[in-house]
This record gives sequence, structure tokens and C-alpha cells, in this order.
Amino acid sequence: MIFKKIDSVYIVFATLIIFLLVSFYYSVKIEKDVKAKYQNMAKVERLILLNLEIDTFLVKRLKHINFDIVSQNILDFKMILKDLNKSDIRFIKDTNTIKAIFIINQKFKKKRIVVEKFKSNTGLFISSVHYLLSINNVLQKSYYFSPIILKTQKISLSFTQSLFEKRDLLEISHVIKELKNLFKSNKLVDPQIKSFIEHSNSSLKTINVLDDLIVQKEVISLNKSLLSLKTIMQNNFEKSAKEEKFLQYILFVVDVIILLLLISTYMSMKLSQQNLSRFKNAVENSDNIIIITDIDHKITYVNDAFVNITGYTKNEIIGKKPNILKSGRMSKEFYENLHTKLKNNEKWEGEFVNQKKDGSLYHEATSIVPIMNKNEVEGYLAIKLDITNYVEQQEELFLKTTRLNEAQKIAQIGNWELSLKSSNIHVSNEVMRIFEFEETKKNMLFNEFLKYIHTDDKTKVILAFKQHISSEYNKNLEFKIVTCKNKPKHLQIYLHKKFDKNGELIAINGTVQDISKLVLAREEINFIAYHDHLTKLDNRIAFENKLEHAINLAKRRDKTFAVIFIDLDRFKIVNDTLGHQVGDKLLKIISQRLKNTIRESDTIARLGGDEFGIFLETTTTSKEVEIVAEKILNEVQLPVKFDNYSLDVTASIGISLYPQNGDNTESLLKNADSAMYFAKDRGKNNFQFFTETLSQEVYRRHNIEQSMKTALINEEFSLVYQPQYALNTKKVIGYEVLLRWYNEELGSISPVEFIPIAEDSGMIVSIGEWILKEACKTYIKLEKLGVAPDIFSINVSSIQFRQKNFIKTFLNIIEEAGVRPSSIELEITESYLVEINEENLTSLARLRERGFSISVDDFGTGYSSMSYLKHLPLDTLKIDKSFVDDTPHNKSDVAVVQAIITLANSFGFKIVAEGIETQEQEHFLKKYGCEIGQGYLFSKPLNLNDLIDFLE
Amino acid sequence: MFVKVIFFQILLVYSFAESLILPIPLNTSYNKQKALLGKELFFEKKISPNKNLSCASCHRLFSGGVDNNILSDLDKSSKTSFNTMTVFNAIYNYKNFWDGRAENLEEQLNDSFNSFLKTKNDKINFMESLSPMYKKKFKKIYKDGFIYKNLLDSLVEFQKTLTTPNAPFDKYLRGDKNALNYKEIRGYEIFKSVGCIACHNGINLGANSYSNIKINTNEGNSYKGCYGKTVSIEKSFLVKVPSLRNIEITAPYFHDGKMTKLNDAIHGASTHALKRKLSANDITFITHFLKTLTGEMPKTINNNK
Repeated sequence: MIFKKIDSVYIVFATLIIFLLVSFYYSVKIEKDVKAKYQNMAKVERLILLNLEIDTFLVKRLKHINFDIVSQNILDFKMILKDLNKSDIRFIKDTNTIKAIFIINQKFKKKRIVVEKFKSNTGLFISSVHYLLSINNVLQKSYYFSPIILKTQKISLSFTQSLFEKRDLLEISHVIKELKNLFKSNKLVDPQIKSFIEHSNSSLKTINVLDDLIVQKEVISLNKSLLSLKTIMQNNFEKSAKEEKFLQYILFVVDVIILLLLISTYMSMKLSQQNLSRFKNAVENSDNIIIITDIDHKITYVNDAFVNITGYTKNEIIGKKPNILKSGRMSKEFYENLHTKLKNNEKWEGEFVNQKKDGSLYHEATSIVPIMNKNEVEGYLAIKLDITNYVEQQEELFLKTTRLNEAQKIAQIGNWELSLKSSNIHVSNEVMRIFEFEETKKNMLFNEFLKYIHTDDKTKVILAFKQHISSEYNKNLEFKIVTCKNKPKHLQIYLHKKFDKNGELIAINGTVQDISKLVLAREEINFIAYHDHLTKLDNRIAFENKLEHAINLAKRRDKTFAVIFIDLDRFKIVNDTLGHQVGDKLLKIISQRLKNTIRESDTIARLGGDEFGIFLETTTTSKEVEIVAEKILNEVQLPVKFDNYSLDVTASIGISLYPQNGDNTESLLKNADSAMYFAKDRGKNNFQFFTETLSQEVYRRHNIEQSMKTALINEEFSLVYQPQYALNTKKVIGYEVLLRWYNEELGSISPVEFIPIAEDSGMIVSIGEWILKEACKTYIKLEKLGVAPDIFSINVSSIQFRQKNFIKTFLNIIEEAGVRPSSIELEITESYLVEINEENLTSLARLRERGFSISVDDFGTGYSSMSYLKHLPLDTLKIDKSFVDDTPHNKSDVAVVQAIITLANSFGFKIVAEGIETQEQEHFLKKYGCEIGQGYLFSKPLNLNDLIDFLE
Repeated sequence: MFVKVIFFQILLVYSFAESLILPIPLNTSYNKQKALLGKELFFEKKISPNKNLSCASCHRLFSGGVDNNILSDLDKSSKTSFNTMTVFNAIYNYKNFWDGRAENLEEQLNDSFNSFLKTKNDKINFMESLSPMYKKKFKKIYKDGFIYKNLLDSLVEFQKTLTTPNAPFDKYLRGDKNALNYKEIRGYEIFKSVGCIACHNGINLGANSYSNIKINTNEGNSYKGCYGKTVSIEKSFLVKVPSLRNIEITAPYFHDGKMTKLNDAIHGASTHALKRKLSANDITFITHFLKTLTGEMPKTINNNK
């Protein structure tokens, strides 16, 4: 039966191959045919083109032509036609085509003759025309006005023209006859004229031949035949294409039918084969190990699975007992149970751990059945399944679950899944930890979950879950919860979607993480970003934000408010002299005080360094602002006491008002700042409202401050020296060193204007050091020249005195320069004396001990109590220029000067009168016991060279 | 009227485009292996019916590609019917043989062989009669070996090497106006204006049309063309217009080799073809011009080159 089937398959298969080969051969043949036909068609097309070119040559009439071109055309035509004659048999078979080609051959032969004749006659004709023209030229000379010449001219012209266009030949022949008659009637014998007439006649013949040839060409109508050949070929082509297509189609159908037949035969054969071997396969190829033993447990049959799994070959195992597989892992009881069951002819089921041939262990699920034959046990059938992989997978799964739980515990990330069907949330162990559930709770309902969510966030969470169902993206969600143990926590959950196989959304799942710490950190960062770390007040950014908000609010509600800018006076000095720690503590205390002065609704911020900003949101009048400013000044003024320090601090305050002084943050702050500078200018410890003029002053002050920063480097400072002289002898006894500043942009700036600024900014310290260095250099120079007076005086700012290592620095500079301290008098202002305390006093005393002289400048302008002077380590008093100016006419000034001189004499101080400008003044001072003077009368301040000259 | 005549006369002369005559290309492409085989065959006497003549017997490569005889010897008793024409530049001919029946060299060769190889068998025997050495050599170069078709092809390939480029007139055509002297240029002008160029045009100055010399002349008809001797079209008295290339060194002239001097030949051609007598002066000038058509003789190709 099988053999028969196979035979039939072979037959069908062979038929199929034959038909396929036929189809293939046929399609190749068709392709070849088509190619040949296309080539032939192309040839015909080329012939048509060539014929057209040949015709063009004929139509071009008689113009000179390179015969090579038309010769080549003829040759090409001939070759292609020859080719076409020889071409493919199938193509020629068609009688119509053969006929058409035959006709073309004939016509071409005729056409060639026409062309060749045309060529020959053209040459002949052209040369004749040339000849006629040249004879005409000769005749013109001898028959100038004769009618003959008119005729010859006309004839030669007509022939020449006929080269280019068709001429009426009858007319020409008529003229020739006339010429002939003329020639005869005149009985002329000129051979030239005779020759002319002969050539004219022959030319006429030639031109007739040429015209005739053109007509012949038309008659031959090679083009028509070519076109008809083309049509025939095209028709044949289409017809055969149809036939071929049909045949191919038939062949294809036959192929398909045979193929189907083959397939069905194969299928039926396969089915019967399957049926036959199914049982055998079931046993042989079963994944189950099948063992059959005889009654003595000796193995009689094993299948392939047994061989594959245990590694024993069939030959090895047949005749042996199954206990060869024993691993020794199973207990005695296990085997006893097995044997008892089998003895009772019962089925036994259980799991073994057995040993393979190579010693490795495997798990198997086994069922053993006794094979019964007529109630007698004949043997045993054991069916076993290798479950090693399953067991290992189980173990691995267990491990994985544990690991995942541990990982979540470590990472503190839990995962959850909300089933949309049951609204049940399945959660991981970590989630339980986060929610601080007491009992193990793997599931909870969504509503129960909502209970733990902080009331603030409940709607947000519900909404987010709802939206997530329809949303395309996965997202993060943050919310607060209250755990079972009533502990608030911030959670972040990641929402993800879970689809089943059909792409239907079945659950929302994701991770959950306790981000409470993160949120705290975030809040802290926010606080740091908008607060000053030292004072915990708002920082500049926060202040500007709030201010902007206030402006917007005020704009809408048509309200006014004030911005207050506070700068602590000379705070830099505190920082420089007492150190930053003290400065920081001071700032903390001041900021607390400032905060206490304002209402809760007002805003205060530390804008930087020692600058504070306040804005009073609900202020309506400037009076109200004044009250607040006043309060601030008073509050700041209170002594600051801490760590054994007692500091007196004042503040300068600038105020700008919205909307009068600006409608944006920038201008309001800038203007308040300007007003503050103005307040500083006004002697500090006061407040000023912003005005337009004020801004100009502040601008100049600002400019000066900025320019001063680079003045030392740019060497803009210079020193001048005003000599001091003994009023009695008019001899120079010393000079005062004065500072001058010239800046490119600002011009000369008076020390009265820039010294306070230098003091405020602390720049006076470095300027002072520079002055001392320069003055020492000058003094050394003078000493070398031998003209140095005993002493020179320089001004020292109180700010300099406050420098911690002021004395040390001073001494270093002097030592380096090589000037003795006894040559230097330090001038201090009277106002410094006012603020003098124990510490200042000791530093003055120490300077004096070193040999410096101390003088009080501008004496009389301050408020120093005269009696206090006695205790001070002083050497000289300088009477201020303002008193000297009006002496001796202003009585009160005269009284003051007298008093000062008397006082100084009684304390043993030297007296120096400043600003002596007239003889009168000098006389008056001398009279009342003033010994030393200084002023324009004696000498104005001089530069170094002038001073040297003056001294010499 | 007079002005009109002058105008047309000028128009007529100017309508001769320069391109009526083209220079011989400086380089010709050919297959050297095949050409070498052709060369060998060119000198092979066994290719003649009596095994006594090679191509080179009449087409001597060192004397203008001709033998300078009126008619050439076929054997001791017979001669050719016409004067031998040169093989030089034959590759550019459109009319070969005096009756112009062959339009390219394959046809020319085939016709020559067909005169004694009438049947297919003849051809096979002929091929067998040639040295077996050829079989080997042809097999190397041609796929289908030593067959009649390839024999022709190799000969054609060899003739491609036989060109004479760089004649002074060619240089002139290529733009070197100093290549010709005054007399020669004058000769060329006359050549154009009397109408010689109407037939002697193309790359070879002729060999591309038939000359009609049947027209009556004053001298009577002493010349019967090819009538009865050739298979030319319509069996008329037509002969081809011969090429004027290298005319100086290919005397004697015309199909019957009657003229030996160039000026006589010009005189003859003008009286027969142009039907007019040119002045002695004009003939001298044209002679000068024709002498400028002699080009560089072909360099013989060698195996080692």
C-alpha cells in the first residue's frame, strides 16, 4: 500500500518537474523572442530614420553636400536591411513580413540608384552653373550693352537661383531659345557663346533629371513600405504576445493543478503513516520514562526517554533491576511502603530522587502499576516523569520572591497592583512596611487605601487614578498619607498600566516610595534659596519676589506703600576690627530688633552685608513711614551687648514710595538705596526720603566711591606740603602733608568731599598707609639734601586708629623708610577725641611713647570739653582756619582763639594756627602768644620740587 | 541684374562649407592582434587562385599603396581590367572598385575572393590550402577560429592601420593657416570655384559617388566608362569618383591608367567631368593644391611594438 502511494507521488512529482521545465523553457524562449522582436523593431525604426535622412539629402535640392554623410546613411541602411533579412526564423516565417521586407529590398535598390544619380547630376549641374557664370563674366567684357549679355545674365542667374529654389524651367528654356536665335541672327561665331548655349541646354537637361529624380523618390515611397512593415511587425508582436500569454497561463494552471495533486497525495500518505507509527511514537518519544520489568523486577524494556535521562544504554540496562538507579537519598520507609503496595497489587505513586549513570541526581514523579494477566502479576510497568527542572524552578521561584522582597526592603520601594475588575490592591511586603500595617495584609480595597491618604490629597489621588486610565503616559504622583500608627508620610507612587493579551487595560500597577525625607530636604532647600542663612530673614531674591507681588497687588488695588532701605553705619569697621564672628552676631541681634519693630504683615529681608530692606505694605502716608523709620533708628541705637562687647551701632535709612518713586522693584530698591546714601551723607543715623535731586548727589558720591577703588593703582593721589613757620623768626620749622586727588573723569576732588567717603568705605586705611610711605620718602630726600626741618605732620583718620595692628603697621613703614618717629607728628581730628575711650587712649599713649608727636587738627570745631584735654597724651593743638579767618575783627572768634591759646599754654601744648592769609592775622596771633603758623601768607601747599626750592 | 548675378556668384562660392572635406583622423583604433594577422595575410601569396600573388604584389606599401603600373599583372599572360587603386585610406571609402560596387572593405574583399571562390566548398578548400599555422594563430584571437569571415576581418583590421594622416592640407583644415602657401591656397580656391569639389568631397575627396561622364564633349566620346565590364548600378557608363588623397604618388591616373602626369589628369577630368577647359594657369594652381594631399606614409606595425 505504502509502496503504491510512494509510486504515485513519484509519478505526479515527475510530471510536475516536466511541466515546470516546459514552462521554464517556454518563458525563456518567449523572452528571447521578445528580445529579438524588440531588436527587429528597433532596426525598422532606425531604417525609417535613415530613410528620412536620405530624403532630406534629396530635398535639400542642389546645395553642396558632403557625400560621405549620405553614403554612410545608405551603407547603414543596407547593413541593417541585410541584418533584417537574415534575422530570426520565427520572425521571417510570417508571410506578410517577408513580403514587406521583400518590397523594401526592391524599393531600396531603386532608391539607391536615385540617390547615386542625384549625387552625380548634382556635381555635374553645380560645375555647369559655375561654368556658365564664368563665361557670363567673360562675355560681359566684350558685349557690354548687347542684348546677348542680358540673356546670358538672365540664364546664369536663373540657374544659380535654381540651386536654392525651384525655378520655372520653361521660362529658362525660352530664354535659351531666344539667345540661340540671337546668336544665329547675328551670325556670331564666338565659341564662348556657343559653349554657353550648349552648357545651358545640358544644364536644363540635368535640372530636369534632378527634378525627375525627386519625383521618382516620391513614387518609390520607401517610407510608406517601412511604416507598413512596422505596423505588420507591431500587429504580429501583439498577436503573438496574446498567444504566448494564453499558453503561459494554461501552463501555469496545469502546474498548479499538479502541485495540488501532489500535496493531497502526500497528505494522505502522511496520515496513514502517522496512524501506523502513532502508538510506537507515543511510547518511544514520550517524555515519560517507561520501564517494563518482569515479575522479578528485571527490566525487559525501556524507552528512549529513559536512555536520554539516565544515560544508560538499552543494552546496559536490560536484565538489570531498577534499583541500579538508587541514590540513597530515599528513606527505608519509603521503599517499604513501595514494596508493600506492589505486593498487594496496588498502584503506587510517588517521587524519587534517583541517580543517573554519571552520578548526578534527578527528581522523578513515578507511578508503578503491576501488569496483570489473568489475575496473575506478569510484571510491572513504571511510568516516570523527570521533574528535576520543575523542582529546581520551584526553588528558584521561591528564591526570587524572597530576593525581590529583600530588594524592596533595601531600596524601600514597594510595588502594588490595582485590579480594575475587583478594585483590589495587591501590595508587596515593603508597602506594608511603609503603611505600617500590623498584620500581614497582601490585599486591600481601593476605598480602604483612600482612608490612609491625607485629607488634603484625597481628591487629587482619586482624580489622578481616574485620569490615568484614559491617559497615554505613565506618571509619578506625590501625596501625603497617615500610616496605621498615625505617622504622616510623603509618598511618591509611579503609575503604570497593565494590559492583557488583547490589549485591554486590566490593572494599574506601579511602585511606591516613602519620600518624606526627600520632601523635608526639598523644603529646606527652598528655605535656603529664599532666606539668609545668618539671620533667617528673607534674602534678596525672596524680597524682590515679594516686592514684585506687592507692586502687582498695589497696582490692582490702587494702593501705596513704602520701601525702606537700611544700612548699618560703619559696620565694615566692626567687621574689620573685631572680626567676622562679632559682626555676624551683631547682625543677628540687629536683624531681630528690626523684625520686632515692624508688623507681621510687613516684609523684612537682609539684602546683603549690612543692608536690610523693609516694605510696609499697608502704609498710606509718609508720616506713618516716618514713625516706623524713627522707631528703627531708636531700636538700632540701643547698645548691643554680648560676650563682653558693648557696641554702639547706628543705621542710615533711605525710603522710596510706590508709586511716586518708581513702579517696579528695581527702581524702588535703587531709589531707596540712593536715599540711604543721602542719609549717610547727612551725617548718618537718620532717614531720608528719595527725591530727584538727591539721586544726583548720591550718584556723585557713588562715582567717587567707585573711582576711589582704582585711584591708588592708577596713581591718582599726590601729596603737597604746606610749610609751618615760627611767627617770630619766619623760619620753617615743619610742614603738613596734604593729600590731593585728581581723577580723569571727575577732575580734582576736594579732600573734604572724598575723605568721608574713604572713611565710610574703609579705603582710608590703605590710602593712609600710602600717604605715610610717600611722606617718609619725601622726608628722607629732604634729609639727604640737608634741608629737612625737624618735623612733618600727617593726618590720621580715626578709622585708621581703630585698625587692630595700626601701630605695628605704622612702625614698620617708618622703620623701612628710615625715619625716626620723633620727626613725625600725627594729626587727629577733634571729633575722634569725642569718641575716645580707654582703648583709643592707650594706643595714643603708646604712639607717643614711641616718640611720635600727637596733634589735634581743626581744634575748636568739635564739642570736646576743654577740661578733658588735660588727660590726653597730646603735644599740639591746631587752631581751625575758620577761627583765624575772621580775626581780628570778629570778636567771638577772637575770644575763642584767645581761649585756645591760653588753654594750650596752660596745658603745655604747642599751638599751630592754620589758614593765615593776611599780615593782620599774623600780627594778631603773634601778639596773643601763638608761636607757629601755617597759611597762604607764608606759603601755599607746594609740590615736592617747589618745597625743596622753598627750603633751600 | 548684374549685381544680382554677382551676389549669387558669391553666395555659390560661400555655400561650400569647409566641412565638405574632413581631415584624416590622427589616430585610428584597431585591434593590434587582428591587424598583425591581417598583415601576415596581406603578404600571403597563397590567397590568390594561382598562389602567385599577394595583396602586396599590386598594393605596394612603400610606393603609395599601388604598383604604379597602367594595369597590373595577374600572371604571365593576363592583366587586370583596370588600374590598381591605393589601399591607403581605403578604410574611409564608400565606393570601392572602379564601378563602386563595394561600399566597404568587407564587401570589397569578399568580391575579390568571390571571383574565384564561387561555392561554399571552394571557400572551405581554400581555407584548408592555407598554412595550418594560421589555424593556431586565429584560434588564439578569434573565438570561432580560422574561418573565412575572420580572414576578411583581419585583413580589414590591417587596412585600418594604412592611413596617411597629417597631409599639409589636413593641417590647413585643422587650423594651421601656414600649412599651405599662396599657390596651394589659390589652387584650393579654384578647386572649389570651378566645381571640382561638387564630386571630390568627403574625407577622401571622392570615393563616395559616381562620376557621370556620358555627356557629349567637344573632343568626342573616347571614353566608355565601365559599360559591359562591371555590375554597376543600371549597368551604365558610370565609374566612381576616385579619391584624390596621395594623388601625387599614385600615378598613373583614371581607371585605364592613361594619364601619367597630374596636370594632364586635371585637364582630362575637367574636360570630361566639368565639360569645360580650364586655363593652364588654373591647372597649375590646382596641381599645387593636389600635391598638398600627400600625407604621412603609414607606419608598419610590428609584433614587437
